[in-house]
Amino acid sequence: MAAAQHATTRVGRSRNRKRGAWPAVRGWLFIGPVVIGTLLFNVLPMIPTFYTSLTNWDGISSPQWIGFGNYDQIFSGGDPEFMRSLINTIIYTVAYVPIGIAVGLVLALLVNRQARGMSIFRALFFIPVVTSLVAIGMVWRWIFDSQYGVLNWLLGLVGINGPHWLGGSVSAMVAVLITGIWAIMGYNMVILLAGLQNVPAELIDSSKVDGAGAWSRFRHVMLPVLTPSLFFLLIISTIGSFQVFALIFVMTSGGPGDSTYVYIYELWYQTFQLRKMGFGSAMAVLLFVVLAAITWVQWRLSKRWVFYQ
Amino acid sequence: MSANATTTRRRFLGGGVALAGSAGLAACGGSSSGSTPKGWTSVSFMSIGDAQDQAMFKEMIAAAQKESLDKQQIKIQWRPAPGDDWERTTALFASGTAADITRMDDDRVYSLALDKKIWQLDPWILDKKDGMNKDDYYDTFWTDNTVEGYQFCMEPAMGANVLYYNKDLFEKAGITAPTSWTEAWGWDDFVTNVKKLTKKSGGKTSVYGVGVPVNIVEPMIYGAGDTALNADQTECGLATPAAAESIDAMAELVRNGNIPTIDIEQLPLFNSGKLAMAWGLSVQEISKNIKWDIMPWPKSPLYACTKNYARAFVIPKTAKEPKAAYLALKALCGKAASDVIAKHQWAVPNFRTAAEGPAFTDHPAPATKKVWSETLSIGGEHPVMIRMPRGPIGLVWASTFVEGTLANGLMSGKMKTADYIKRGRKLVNAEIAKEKWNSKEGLKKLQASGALADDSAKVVS
Repeated sequence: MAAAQHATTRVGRSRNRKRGAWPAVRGWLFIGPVVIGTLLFNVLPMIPTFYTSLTNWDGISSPQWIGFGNYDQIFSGGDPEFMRSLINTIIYTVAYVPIGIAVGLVLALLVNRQARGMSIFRALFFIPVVTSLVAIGMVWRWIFDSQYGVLNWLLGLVGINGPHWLGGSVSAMVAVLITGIWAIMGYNMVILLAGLQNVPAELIDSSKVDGAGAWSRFRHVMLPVLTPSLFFLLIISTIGSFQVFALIFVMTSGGPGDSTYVYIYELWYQTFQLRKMGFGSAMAVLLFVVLAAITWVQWRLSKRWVFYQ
Repeated sequence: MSANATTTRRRFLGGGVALAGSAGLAACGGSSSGSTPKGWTSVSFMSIGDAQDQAMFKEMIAAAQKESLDKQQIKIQWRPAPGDDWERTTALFASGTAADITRMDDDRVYSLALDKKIWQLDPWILDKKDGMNKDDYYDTFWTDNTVEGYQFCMEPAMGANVLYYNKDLFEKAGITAPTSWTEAWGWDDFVTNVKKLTKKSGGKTSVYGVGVPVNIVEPMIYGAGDTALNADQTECGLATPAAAESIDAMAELVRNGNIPTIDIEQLPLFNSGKLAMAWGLSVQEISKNIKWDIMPWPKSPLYACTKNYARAFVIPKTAKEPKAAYLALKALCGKAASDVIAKHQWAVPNFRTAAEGPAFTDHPAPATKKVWSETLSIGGEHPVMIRMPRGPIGLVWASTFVEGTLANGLMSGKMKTADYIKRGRKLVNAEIAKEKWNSKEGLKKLQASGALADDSAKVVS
């Protein structure tokens, strides 16, 4: 009897072990394709990119080893547009990240209510996210057109002589920023909406009982719960803004002059226009290092302001 | 029910996979315009280009087949290009998978030759039996794109850059356009007429006098008697006050709102009657509502010049039957295929009788077709069509002065002409110093590379 009981227990343990292992296997099966894809198409290419950055490859002939020559050229000012492109990218990031998140937050607060047809608004705000950036850039280029643009036409209706948006150094950057933020606001909204819907109803109720007004409830109840979502968006938006290219390519080509000439545009120009694959790869490696450093700093700082439930 | 549902989903997915598979196979195959008959030699041809271009290429192939290739039992197989940019075509050379005849960015021919990726064509062209008759073509066919004097490509036609003008706007302003390069306007007349054609209201330009892309600086420099590089290519040209004044005179028109800044697209302006003259449009893109014709670019201020564009047809070293590929290329540059180009007004054929024959001249517009063909036919000491330096320094010159931020700065009215020239010259001179370049360096490199099949064979001596 005891032996039988012992045997039953062993069988039970074995089943439990199998049951315990299966979810893990199943989990790996689910994420496996993504992990393999990421390794193959994101992580693995970094190795040849780093190697190429140490060569003077032109895309056709065999690459020749030049050590850190490309990096030396970058840091010694050998590429006069490098610093300008970096400054423009920082300007873009400084405006794009906070404004983009703020707009997303406002939209999330607006659509976070149970009203009829709200799902239509949510879908409408999300449409730019699933639209090609090139198409968005082309449409907005027409909107900003100084002669035929809808924007200047609307401004004209209220007596304002609209600027030559894409022809002015500051206005061109503003135009690209408006377009970029418009394109991403739906994504930010969805992430923050999910965060808002995670705010426990009892917390809201008890704050109401305590007499907290709308602003107080937002500031002291909702915002702390939203901080993980905000942190996620901060990281993603920063990386995205450093990689801005398609909109600039379509809308301004980096101009007028070099006023919207950003880092990736310079990287593309060096790599594919001047066919300096090695130099372009060095720029890509540097960008990776810079973004990794920024992300690490943000991660460290997040401990001070991000609250996990 | 659940099992049935699963089965249905599986079937559905299976069907989807099969459909995707067959679509993929169809995309990979199906490139030929008919199979190659047994015993014939197959030569593949590839070019980027929109649907209209591709249709014309197929028509050219059909014409070439009928004219000579069928008799020679050579079949050109059209192969779709991967995407629509030169980078992908270049990647095909790097991977050794380019088509037997590949249409390529003309600026890349030099480096492809030096890297031994393409065949030298001179020995075949000079061959007594299968060679080509030099006199059938304008000189530009033999001189526009050589690698240190050797032929590594053929350009069946030239995109002739001239001024397209709106006849109604000219008539309204009482302006008569010149009909030949020999009658081109002087610079002062040009500026007077541009100002007359420009209409402004509320501080903004409603009709622009003329629209130009930034590469207009190339003919401007040569028109001022200067050059891109000095004679032995050891220093950047653009060093004379005349060239600086010439470019500044053009930049002044941008600053004054007579020329639209670089961010404003020319074509919609021209097609809506808000641009009186535009440099280097494409006939196919002009609206049928616009009455237009063509005229030469003015003297700037000494000579009236232009910079034509032509893409290059090359034979990669990986071609399976290079001699057959040459014969096919020769046919694609022959009379029948050139007539197809002429019929489509795609560009000016380099084949003389095609450019001067009915296929090219029988179109209703423009009335002054010789303004196009003269860009190829008027040579001499100061030819209408200028030749920009090629090779590594030529590339840097172009990327400095006609692309990138300096060019954008000049054509957006944000950069002073003096800064444009000073910064541009500095960059080009730095590249010359880095490469230790001079006019003999290219030939030395070409000979050392082993790219020449026969260095004594040279079509143009």
